[in-house]
Amino acid sequence: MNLLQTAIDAMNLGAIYALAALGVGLIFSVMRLINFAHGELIAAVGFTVYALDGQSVWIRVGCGLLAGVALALIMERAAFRPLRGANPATLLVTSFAVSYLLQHLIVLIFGARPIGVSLMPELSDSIALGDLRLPKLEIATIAATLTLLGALVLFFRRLPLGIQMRAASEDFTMARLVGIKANKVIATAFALSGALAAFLGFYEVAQSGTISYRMGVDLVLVAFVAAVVGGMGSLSGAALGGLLVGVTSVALQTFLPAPWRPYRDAFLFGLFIVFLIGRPQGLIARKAHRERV
Amino acid sequence: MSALLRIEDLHVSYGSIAALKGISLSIEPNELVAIIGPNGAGKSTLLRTVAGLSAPLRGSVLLRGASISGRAPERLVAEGVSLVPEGRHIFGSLTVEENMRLGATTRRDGRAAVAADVERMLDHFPILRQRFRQRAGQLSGGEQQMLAIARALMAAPKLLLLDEPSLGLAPLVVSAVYETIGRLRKDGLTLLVVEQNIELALRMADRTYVLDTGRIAASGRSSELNSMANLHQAYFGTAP
Repeated sequence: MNLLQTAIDAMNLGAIYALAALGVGLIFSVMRLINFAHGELIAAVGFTVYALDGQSVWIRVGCGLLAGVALALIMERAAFRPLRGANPATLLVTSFAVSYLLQHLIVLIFGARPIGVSLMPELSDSIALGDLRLPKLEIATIAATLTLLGALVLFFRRLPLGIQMRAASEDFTMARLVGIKANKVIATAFALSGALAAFLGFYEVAQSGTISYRMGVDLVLVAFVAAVVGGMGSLSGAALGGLLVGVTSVALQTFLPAPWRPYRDAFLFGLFIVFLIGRPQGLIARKAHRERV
Repeated sequence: MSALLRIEDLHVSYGSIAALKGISLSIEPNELVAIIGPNGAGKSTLLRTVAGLSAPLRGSVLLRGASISGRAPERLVAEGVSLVPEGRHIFGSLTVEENMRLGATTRRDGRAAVAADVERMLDHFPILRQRFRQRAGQLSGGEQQMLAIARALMAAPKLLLLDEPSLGLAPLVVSAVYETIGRLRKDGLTLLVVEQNIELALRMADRTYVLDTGRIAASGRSSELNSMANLHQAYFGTAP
């Protein structure tokens, strides 16, 4: 029974990391940009939900989603589009700059101290099944993640825009040569990553009950590791990598001897370092990235 | 003069390295023009610039008299210029069908017309019909070249640019590719082909330009150029 409980916890964390890794991986796959400012999208959603305290949950969630998508699009337009085709190091440094800028903007407006926020408090209960305890939030997270992943799969397999994005993520220059609009594909990637960030923002608020200007930072670091483990540039790899990192983290938490548990993350990342030494291309290898022009 | 493509005094640089140093050429409708020349002569740069991947430093590229210099490749496809780049660049993780349909991205004449064209391509390239639902990455080199051409044709181009279509293919496959190119030309397409294989280029093309270190070293009807003396002159600067 305990094992089943652990499995559900693992699925839950794996789902969160998968969505985070997808958000980071989507942008990387079309732009070769590792967007560390993804964390601030999550924070912006958290603060939007906080600012609308007292409104109905649908308004808060709807506006949160809108805020995530809009900020992602603004980021692309203002910071990254002018640097299109710049080398990856320049893009990376820019994403740090955007990240710090947004963090300090939040500090300026809301202060640096964590703020308590309540969102969907009814999800903090658990359903008891025998001696199995199922937190509603975990169930909701897993269900929502599966729905989101299903929708993404449909989008990428069936819709013309989704197929265009797969083509662009494989070979951006060739995608332009068949007439796929670079701006459209990249803006769509940012909008999707903003929507994924919004979901993570809701989860963070509902799970921890607090927001702070750094609330997305740790998650994005893990997402980045997960995306690399999955195979940078591969979307299914990112999802798989996220799941793997989440499941491994919970497994270590459960099965490590008690005195070692405080060092769980050291074991976690140590394991993935070893993994990447053996398989540097990640779980799902992509062809060598071509020069983007 | 009603040239389909006219290039005047085209200069293109990569950083401080000049790749094209004043190229002028023109292509009439329904012509097959070849560009030959040693490695690093600027042949690919020329095609890439016409397709919108490189911006000219100076000079102009005119399509039916209207300037297209500096235009984005996705816009040029819509205006009838398609490039099949060297190395084919098919989307390997997508199916043959998806690759072909992506070729029609810029078309606005409706699903039925696109579907009819897919059928037409499959008649042209029967091997693609057998592989229609497979990942394109599983195709052989020759099949990938066919797919790359079919994908470019799905855009219904007026001018097709082919960069080294025979590179890395077995001799038998090369003849199949060139048979296709000949047929396209009969169907009224205008083609600009970069080719390493001089003999092949001169046999196929109406006219040939010889490029050397970013300049046109010789040009003329392929039959005229087809004397070793001229070519030797072009490649080495001296008569044999």
